[in-house]
Amino acid sequence: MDFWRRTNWKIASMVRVWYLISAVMIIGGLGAWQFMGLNMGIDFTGGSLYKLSVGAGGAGAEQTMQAATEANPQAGRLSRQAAEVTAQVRSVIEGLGVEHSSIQVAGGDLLLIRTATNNQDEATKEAAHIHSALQEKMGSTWGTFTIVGNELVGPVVGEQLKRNAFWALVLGNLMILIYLTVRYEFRVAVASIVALVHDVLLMIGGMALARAELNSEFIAAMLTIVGFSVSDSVVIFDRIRENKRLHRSTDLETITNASLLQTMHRSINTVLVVLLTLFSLFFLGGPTIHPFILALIIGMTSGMYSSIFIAGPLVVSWDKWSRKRRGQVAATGRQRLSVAGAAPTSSVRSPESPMSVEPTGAEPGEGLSAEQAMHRAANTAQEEKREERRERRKAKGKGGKKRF
Amino acid sequence: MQGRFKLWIAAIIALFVVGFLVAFAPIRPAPRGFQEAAFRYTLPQPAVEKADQLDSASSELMAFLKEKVSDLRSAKFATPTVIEVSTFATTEEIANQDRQTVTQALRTKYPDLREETEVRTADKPIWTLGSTLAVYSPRPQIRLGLDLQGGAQVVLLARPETTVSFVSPEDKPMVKLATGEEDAAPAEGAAPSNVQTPEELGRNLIRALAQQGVAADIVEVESAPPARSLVVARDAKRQITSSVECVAAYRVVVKTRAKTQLEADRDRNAAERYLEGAFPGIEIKEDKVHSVFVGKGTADKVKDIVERRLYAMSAVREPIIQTQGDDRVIVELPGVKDPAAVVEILHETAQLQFCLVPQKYQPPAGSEENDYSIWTNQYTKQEALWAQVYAESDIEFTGADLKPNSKVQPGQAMELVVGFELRNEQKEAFRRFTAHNVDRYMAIVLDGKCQMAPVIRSEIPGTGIIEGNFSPEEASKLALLLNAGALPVPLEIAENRTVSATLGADSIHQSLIAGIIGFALVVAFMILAYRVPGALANIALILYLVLLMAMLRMANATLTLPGIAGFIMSLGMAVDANILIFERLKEELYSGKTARASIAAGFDRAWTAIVDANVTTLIGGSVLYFLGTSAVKSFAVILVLGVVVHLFTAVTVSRWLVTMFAHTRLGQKLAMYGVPKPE
Repeated sequence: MDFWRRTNWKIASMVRVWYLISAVMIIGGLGAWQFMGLNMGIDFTGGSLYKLSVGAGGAGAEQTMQAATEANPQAGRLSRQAAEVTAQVRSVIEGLGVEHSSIQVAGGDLLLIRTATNNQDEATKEAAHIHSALQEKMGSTWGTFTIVGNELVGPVVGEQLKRNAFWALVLGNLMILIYLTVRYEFRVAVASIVALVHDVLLMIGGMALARAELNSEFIAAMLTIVGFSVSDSVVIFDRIRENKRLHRSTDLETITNASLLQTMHRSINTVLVVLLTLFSLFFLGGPTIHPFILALIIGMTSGMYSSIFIAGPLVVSWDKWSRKRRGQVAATGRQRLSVAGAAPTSSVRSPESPMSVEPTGAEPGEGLSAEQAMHRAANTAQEEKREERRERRKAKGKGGKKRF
Repeated sequence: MQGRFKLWIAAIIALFVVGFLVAFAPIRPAPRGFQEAAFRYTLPQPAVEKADQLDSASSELMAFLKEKVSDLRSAKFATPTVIEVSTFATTEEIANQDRQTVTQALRTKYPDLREETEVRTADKPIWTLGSTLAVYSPRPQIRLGLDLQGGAQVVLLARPETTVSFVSPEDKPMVKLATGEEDAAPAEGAAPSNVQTPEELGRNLIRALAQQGVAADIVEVESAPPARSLVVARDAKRQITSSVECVAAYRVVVKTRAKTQLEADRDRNAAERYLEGAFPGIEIKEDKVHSVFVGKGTADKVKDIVERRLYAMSAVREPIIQTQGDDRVIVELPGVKDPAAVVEILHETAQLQFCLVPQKYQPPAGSEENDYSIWTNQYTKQEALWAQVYAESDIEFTGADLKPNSKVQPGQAMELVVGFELRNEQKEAFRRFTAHNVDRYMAIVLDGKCQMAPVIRSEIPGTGIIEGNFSPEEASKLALLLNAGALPVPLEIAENRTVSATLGADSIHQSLIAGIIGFALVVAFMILAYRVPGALANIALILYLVLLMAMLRMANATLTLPGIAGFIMSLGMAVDANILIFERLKEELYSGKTARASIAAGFDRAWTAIVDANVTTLIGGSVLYFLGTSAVKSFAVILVLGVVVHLFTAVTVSRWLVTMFAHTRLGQKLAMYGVPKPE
């Protein structure tokens, strides 16, 4: 259970690997988006969606279901032969001259038919045509077809939804950027936003790969992830800030690494718990919300990954890069650090690749956990306590705002 | 310390109780009598004419029924066509007897009364508390969205419209109508090369308009002669942007979606310029220019009329009608069985007109099933489409001149007709108009369609009937539309989401199962990962559940399907703060601190991270609330309220619980926190 507390995994030093994994996933997702296209629902494109229940006479109640099943063994069991049903329905519908339709078997007895018809008069007629044609051609095999729901979205609404989705994302990100800049610092805010954009891109790519339908709920999923994924990063940065105060002399990379490991349990467990509820919704919550839940699952998982492996390491990379630009590679703090005997990090690295962070030289902290290495870095326990007290006083005075 | 613990326990229990009472409302006012039975009846036509007469009609009804039904509780007109009766029935049998008595009594007064199959019997209380309160079986009191309880949500969009009709002299037609009677076209005077087919003229006019910025990505011939000749242009989104209709060889009607007077003039001029260029030497006149625009107050006017229409319909129970911006009206119709019929009535313009038909036209010889689509020119003996006749007729009176008391009544042959009466100030004008035009045809036109065309036999004082082979539904629909008034602008259905009650019930059922499993998984996880503190956090989680439901009820929030999903997901998010704290607690314990000190340190140090983490979720949720659709708004509300509630339950309440536990003897043992003893 407490694996992460004992390990000394150099997460913050393996940034290249993390960036590469993310890049591959994002490019894969974007490729899917580009080449397979997004499965835009009628909320965005406009059009009609007809929901038909089959077999149970639309009653939905267990008894009727059973009666219908007894009378007709195939009734209400659409999903078992989904491919067959879809093909049959398609041929019936195309026989009616309805174009650009998409047919989906959702759950045991629900059939979803999407068409491009976007005005009420035509949709009303179309629904009646489809219903009677299905009943006539397939009713004997599959049972009674009942229209249980109709959705019509006109062209104006879809446009507005796209605009709203865009602004919601921009506004959400901007507000979070401002909040984090005020509470932490600009670099932290930017790193968190990068992690966020990462998540949103992965969500879109994942939805494209899964051919899942995007509808207005997808916007809700994106904004939930925007809020929740950042909260993961925030917890990590909060810990970095705290460790920074306790161990002033330690360099950022070590601190970040230790902080990442310290918060690892939390980062994983939090998402795990949410995923537990999401998976139970995905498998038991009915077919209507599948795309929504799928988007949330992708986003949550990506959010967990990006806050651990992207947001934290990104700040380290940025720090190194800016130090290097300022020519402050050999900062005084680092010299003190090597005296103290903690893992040296960036002092020996090739100048042309600022991101190269392979720890070189002997590993004095070998066999010790990251936390212990960090503890060593700070001189003595007494000094630590003194410093802590001092810091607390300062923190109170400054309202907790602190630069790295 | 012990005193404080008592206070904490009391506070937690009190919160549970209050939350439960609010969220599930088990205690409500007692019914008078043991049980009450409620019955609903609908009338095919309104029993009263005006809304303010409902009260007096209700008290009359009450007095009438009181004589016949001994245990009557109340009787009233819920709307002009819906009667609601309730009785004090102590048992199911008595309720059924009451129902029969009530139905019989009402039938003597309203023979064509319809009895609604479902009879609502009020909740049976489990036991009564004194005479005013009673305990019912607890049920969540949250309002369900239309996707869960079934119903329709319709967004009506007002569209501006400008209509101009252009006329050339009758002997110099612009269009050669391919009616099959080639010889009949009086094309002598005009240069034959100029005359176009209706389709050509339509396409040319649309092209001329498109040059002025009227989108025409798709141009289609909607209908060709002889029925009608209509060419329609749509934009890339398949919305009609303009149309050209040739109603006669010498008359063309152009319609556009001009938003302002400026655009209307621009479109008119563009069409006129084209016609002048294409038919040189022919004098083309503008006739009947009519524009409606969408602006401030349009949505309110539409809402007003929609409200009146819905109010008069028996099938609609508690509609919610809101405006959005200047051009949108959102109508929510919970529990409507046949939403299509309601939607149809909503967006019908219902413009009633009384037109004086030019003398040269005669309606087709009077068969009963006459649809008045083809008239005859009695001089040339040619057929003329109704659209042509209509375009040449003068509109004398409109639906706005009628009193809102039209009603369905039997006609001479006992068929259904709709009787109307003009407003007092228009009666004299109508009398004069009819007196001057004896022996001419007056067409009664609804939304451009001729309903009837009687000959004016003598002067008419100010009342009349509309006949048209109506079915009972059609007749009452017409009366309803006339009484509610015409819409000021054409409406379009921008969005319509209809869900049957069964599908909604299925969704609730499935979500409930998913919720229970999800909750169980979270509870199990917390205990496995954090042992006793995890179990205590689960208690706080239950409190979270109850308090969130209470908050939702108090905020009068609506629960939609995404909302339920959000609710279930928030169970996982609610323990986030606990996980943060308990991880911290474990760290402190590892470092060798005592349980109590670790708990205090864990809660204190985790606090800033918790606040920051939740503020970001709040930001996401609020943005969503302001920019999301209505189904998604419910999700946003739950997200935001959930954060507020769990900041309290997961931090304060679980801190109380864990601190109290740490003060027990068991609470000193590290194993209780899932931390092994230090070697």
